[in-house]
Amino acid sequence: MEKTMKNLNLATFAKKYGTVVAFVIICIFFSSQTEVFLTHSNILTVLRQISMLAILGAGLTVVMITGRIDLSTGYGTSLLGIFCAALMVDFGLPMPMAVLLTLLGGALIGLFNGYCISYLGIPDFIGTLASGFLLSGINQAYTKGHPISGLPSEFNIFGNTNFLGIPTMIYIMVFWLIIIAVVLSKTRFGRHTYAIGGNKEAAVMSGVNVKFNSMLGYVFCGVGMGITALVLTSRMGSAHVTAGDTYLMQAIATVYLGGTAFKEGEPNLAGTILGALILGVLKNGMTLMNVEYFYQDIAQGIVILLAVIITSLQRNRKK
Amino acid sequence: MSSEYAIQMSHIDKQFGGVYALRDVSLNLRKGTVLALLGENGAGKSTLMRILTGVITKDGGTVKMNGREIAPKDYAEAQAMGIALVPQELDLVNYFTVAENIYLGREPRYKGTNIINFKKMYDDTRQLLEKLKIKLDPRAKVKELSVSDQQMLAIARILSQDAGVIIMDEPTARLGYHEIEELLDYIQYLRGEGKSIIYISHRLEEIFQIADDITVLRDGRLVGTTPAADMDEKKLIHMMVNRDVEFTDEFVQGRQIGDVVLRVENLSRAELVKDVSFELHKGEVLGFFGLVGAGRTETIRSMLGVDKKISGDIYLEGKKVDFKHITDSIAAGIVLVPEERRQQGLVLSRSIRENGSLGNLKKFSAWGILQEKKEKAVITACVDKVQLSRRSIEQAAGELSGGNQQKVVLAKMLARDNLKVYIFDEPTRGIDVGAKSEIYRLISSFVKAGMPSIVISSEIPEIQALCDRVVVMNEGRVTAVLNREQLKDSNEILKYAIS
Repeated sequence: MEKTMKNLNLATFAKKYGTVVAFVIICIFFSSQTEVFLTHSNILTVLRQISMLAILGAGLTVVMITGRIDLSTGYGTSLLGIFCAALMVDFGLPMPMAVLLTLLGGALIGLFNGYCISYLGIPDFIGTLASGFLLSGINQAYTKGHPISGLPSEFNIFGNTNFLGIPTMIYIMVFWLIIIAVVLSKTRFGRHTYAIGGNKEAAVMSGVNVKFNSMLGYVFCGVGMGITALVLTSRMGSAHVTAGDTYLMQAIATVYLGGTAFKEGEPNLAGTILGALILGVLKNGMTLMNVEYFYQDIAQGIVILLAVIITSLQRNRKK
Repeated sequence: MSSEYAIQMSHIDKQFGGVYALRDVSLNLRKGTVLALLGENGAGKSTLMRILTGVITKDGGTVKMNGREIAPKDYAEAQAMGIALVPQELDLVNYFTVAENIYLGREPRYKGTNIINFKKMYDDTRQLLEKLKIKLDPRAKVKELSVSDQQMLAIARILSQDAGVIIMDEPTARLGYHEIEELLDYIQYLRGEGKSIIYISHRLEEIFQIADDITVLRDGRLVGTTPAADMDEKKLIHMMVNRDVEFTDEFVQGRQIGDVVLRVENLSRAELVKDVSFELHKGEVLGFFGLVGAGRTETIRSMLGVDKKISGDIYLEGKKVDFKHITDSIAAGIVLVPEERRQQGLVLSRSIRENGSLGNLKKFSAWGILQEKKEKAVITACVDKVQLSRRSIEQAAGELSGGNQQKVVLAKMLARDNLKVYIFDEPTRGIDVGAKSEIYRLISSFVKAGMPSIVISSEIPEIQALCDRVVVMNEGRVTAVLNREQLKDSNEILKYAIS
């Protein structure tokens, strides 16, 4: 009997922290294979590399907790990068103004997505896919495919400067993660978000304004796009038309990967951070080991697939 | 070797993680009879049936079918032996037709090919349904069928596979009075055809109507098996819970009935609600009775702004109100405890505390930021008031039993301020007899404290236990409003619900 209890605890532990253990194992593996992996500067490199993914993923987590998805995040990020650069370069707006408008623009994209889905009743998948195309089209039409360069030097603050020896983009990431964490755990909106994800109908019948709260989730996701766009554009030194596009799939993968940790298959912020760390460490470690990039993609694909398999197994067992 | 018994399960033991779920339980199903299997939730009924259908394996004891020992490895093997189960939640494919569901996985094919012979499938289905005396259109899609027709389809499907032993798990849970009668008639017909049936239900009236024998389980043990003819409701309830549960005037005593609190005039909705008017007084329980589809829940939903109403006036404490959305009616002080507590009442994955405050978070927050200390204190007080048994209020609501889940929904209601009317829709559906009377006691204590309440119920004993007056509905219209004296006569209530 005692033994079964022990097994039971082990099973719950594996369910909740299996992904953490996997992450630790990956880290041990890379630190045994390369000498630089655990150095101070490499750790900062990893954190810098994952910061954009974590920022975008954190916003997306809010949407995904409610059981919905946002497929416009990649194109949205690209467009917002171009938007910010155009405001500064083409329209000559001062940087703080452009930054503020970019964040506002992100919020508006989220508001648009959220309104279409919550109030017009468009399915989230097709709705955000369509708005993604729309955003990408606007982007192409404005830029004709050309990047925008010549950004003011003070714009470097988002992606190319250090503060106290640590890249500023890491501060930005931590700041945004704290905001999302507080919003999810300490506010009415956060509680409603979890309730909608857990049982939408019960939330409606309890008097929760499900439409409004669902829409607000997309707004957070949109602001996340805006911040990601700022960091990304600053990091690259110019705004590229498709710079953010690839982040869509990675961000979704991050949230899914995170769902395997702590909460047995439900998206959660701590999991998303862990997901970003796993993807980041894999990429970094393999680069250090001189693994060619296509093998890196294969490894990433396998990790994500494993995560999804584990999640579905957990869900099946719950039933 | 022939035997008097279709199924004999003897001295069955089953442990889960060192705890006995079944201990020395025996069940004997005579050929061509209906055996009612009864017990409170968690008594071991479903564990026993899962052993019989091969879903789980037993630790000890024997199972015999027609005198021969059997041990099915899985449900498919049990089905091949002729044992089939109609589950509580029907496993039909909504977008398929009746015939496609019956032949799912074993569709007739053209010779030598893998191509489905639809003509044969529909012809065979028509013949099968005729033979089974089930009136269904083979080409109708499942989603277009009523709940009771879906039930008949599920039965047709297992009969088409020559099941001799049929297990029905709460088949009437979602049916109205009229449909229940039809189903019970059909079960009797099946018995006449020589089928042996194990019938699981909470509804005692049904059991006395159709069962030949009754087996009662309690806490994983056999309490006893007796011929139904030797039993009455009182004895049976006593066997199930080992404590007397009386449906008397106990719950309605001590009420002080006052002025009109809520008045509804000529309420109509696009479907199912026609010209409904009623009044609710302070300190009273007003029942809503009717068959499924009578429009009771729909009346309340359109009154509260969940569904759109076409016309009608609502007066709360003399003032005219118009609820556009459920948040409006909640803000005005009318709270509904919904029919489907798992789907509509609770977020099962969240804690008791979070469920208790859901929809009421303004009370526990300032500027959108939650005040968890206050929340914890208030919700703890509320769950104490309903005597919720729990490990902790941080426990997920999904871990609780049906009765305790309903108590969480009640606690959630109590946590709200400035309430004027409570509405309970099927407050004890799927809850065992013992917990039922506890829920009744709670509701009557709320009413005694002055809170006017509406109880929607499909169970006449429930209406009789709780209500001062009852509004009887039929096809969207109010056919009668009966007072306490009148509603004591079940036939009277039913008469207006059917006529």
